[in-house]
Amino acid sequence: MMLTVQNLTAGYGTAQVLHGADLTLDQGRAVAVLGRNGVGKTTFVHALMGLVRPSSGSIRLAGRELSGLDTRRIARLGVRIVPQGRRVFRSLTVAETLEISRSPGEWTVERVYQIFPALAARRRHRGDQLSGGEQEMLAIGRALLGNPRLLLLDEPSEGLAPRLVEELGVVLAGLRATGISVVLVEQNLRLALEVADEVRCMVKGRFVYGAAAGEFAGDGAAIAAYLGVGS
Amino acid sequence: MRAILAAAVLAAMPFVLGAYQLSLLTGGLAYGLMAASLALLVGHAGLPSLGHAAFLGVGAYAAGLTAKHLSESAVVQLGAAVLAGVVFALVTGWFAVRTRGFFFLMFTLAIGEIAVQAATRSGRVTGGDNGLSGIPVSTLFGLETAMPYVVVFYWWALAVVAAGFAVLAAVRRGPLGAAIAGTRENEARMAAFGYSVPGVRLAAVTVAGAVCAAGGALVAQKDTFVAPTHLGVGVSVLLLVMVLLGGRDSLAGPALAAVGLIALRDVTSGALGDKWLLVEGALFVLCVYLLPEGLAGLWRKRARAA
Repeated sequence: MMLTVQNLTAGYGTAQVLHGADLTLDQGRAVAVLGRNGVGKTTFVHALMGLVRPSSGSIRLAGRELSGLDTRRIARLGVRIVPQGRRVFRSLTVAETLEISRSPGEWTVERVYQIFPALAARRRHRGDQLSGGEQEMLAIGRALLGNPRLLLLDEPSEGLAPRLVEELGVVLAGLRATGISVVLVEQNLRLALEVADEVRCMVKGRFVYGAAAGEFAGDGAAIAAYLGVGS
Repeated sequence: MRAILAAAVLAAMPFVLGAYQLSLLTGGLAYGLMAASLALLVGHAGLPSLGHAAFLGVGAYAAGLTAKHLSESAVVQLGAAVLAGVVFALVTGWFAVRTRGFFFLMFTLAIGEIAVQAATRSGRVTGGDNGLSGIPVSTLFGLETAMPYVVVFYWWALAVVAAGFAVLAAVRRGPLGAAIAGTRENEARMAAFGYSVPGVRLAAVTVAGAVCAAGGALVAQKDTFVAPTHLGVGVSVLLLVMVLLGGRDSLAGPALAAVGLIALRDVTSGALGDKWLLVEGALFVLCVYLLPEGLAGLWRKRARAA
């Protein structure tokens, strides 16, 4: 098992957000974490990355306990996050950002330019001169250059044009074949179902539903219950 | 290209200027290098230091003591100064980079004042309050026997300053510079890449400290004298003023501001005595209002307009 999360609780100050989340994920598999706004999806991936300190529970990456480690140690163990809102470095160029994100492994700067040709064309441009779609590509590219075993994506489709979301889906769906395990937090159901093997739905800081992606796609009642009508 | 042109023009200055102005320019260049090293911290790393003069002083004392007790060679003294700067940066920086913003400001202020006290109290080595005097004139590859010393020393200083600028520019453009800028913009993101934020910052402090110490060596060699005030907050503030006047996101800007400020101080202090500080203060206030990006902002604005 690549990732095993057991009874994870976390929060901010006195506000507890995660109330005992459990999740397992095999190597080379992708799980979509779905749920309405405010149920704790972002807190969940932040806890995995050490950006929020878990108050109890366990997170094991290939058997190694991550809970309690700081973000840098977790990153060194092979976890990368594509944060919500991309958070690219405004003053660094595309080439500089990719340069400082490199760790040894299969992913190279050239390979990132291959899957995102738009970035190659903008390599001398600063982060704040890129479009939202290009920033998303840069955020994903720099995460891949860390050659992670576990990739966390927090709402990558947010604010992107439908055509770009489709392109993104193709790239992300292709990642599983490389052996990376993916945790994808998404509001866009189509993208989630295209990328993920499995779906977990979160309600009030807990996973209450789990199914294969295909099964969830056909379960109108579950979709309505966990995502609200129209999603 | 522009850097080479500037170096060529500066190298020709001995044929234009008299001995006094040349000596003044030598000091201006040394301060320019030290201001540029501070700009790496303030602008690039986002670490506003109020104790940068400590590196000037450490370099100056190291060079002066080496001159008195070990070697009269300017190169050996420079090496000793840079080494001392690196050691001082690693020891004080290890603690300093774990603070940020206002606390970094206070911490570096404290380091500077501790350095002043250390220099004042260890009189037998440093000359205490009276400063380190009797530093012998350094030898410069024997060239000083063939030409006027002030000219040879000017070229030596220019070479050191050019090398220091090359180091600063290379660091800023290279991967370390990108990582330093990354820690300024978003610490959490850099940690999420597996970077040690204190480690990257310590590298920035060490580069800036070593380069500043080289400038300190030039000060000691030029004046053949070092005083504890060289380490103090007064000089640190002067360096900060140079950075703010020149533009903190630039190397050439602070250097230009340094040369200008040293020249201005020479003119106004002759005419006004201590009151020249009033002129400097007024100028500073004006510049902060009119040139928020410093002198560097001026030519950037022109580049944007063109």
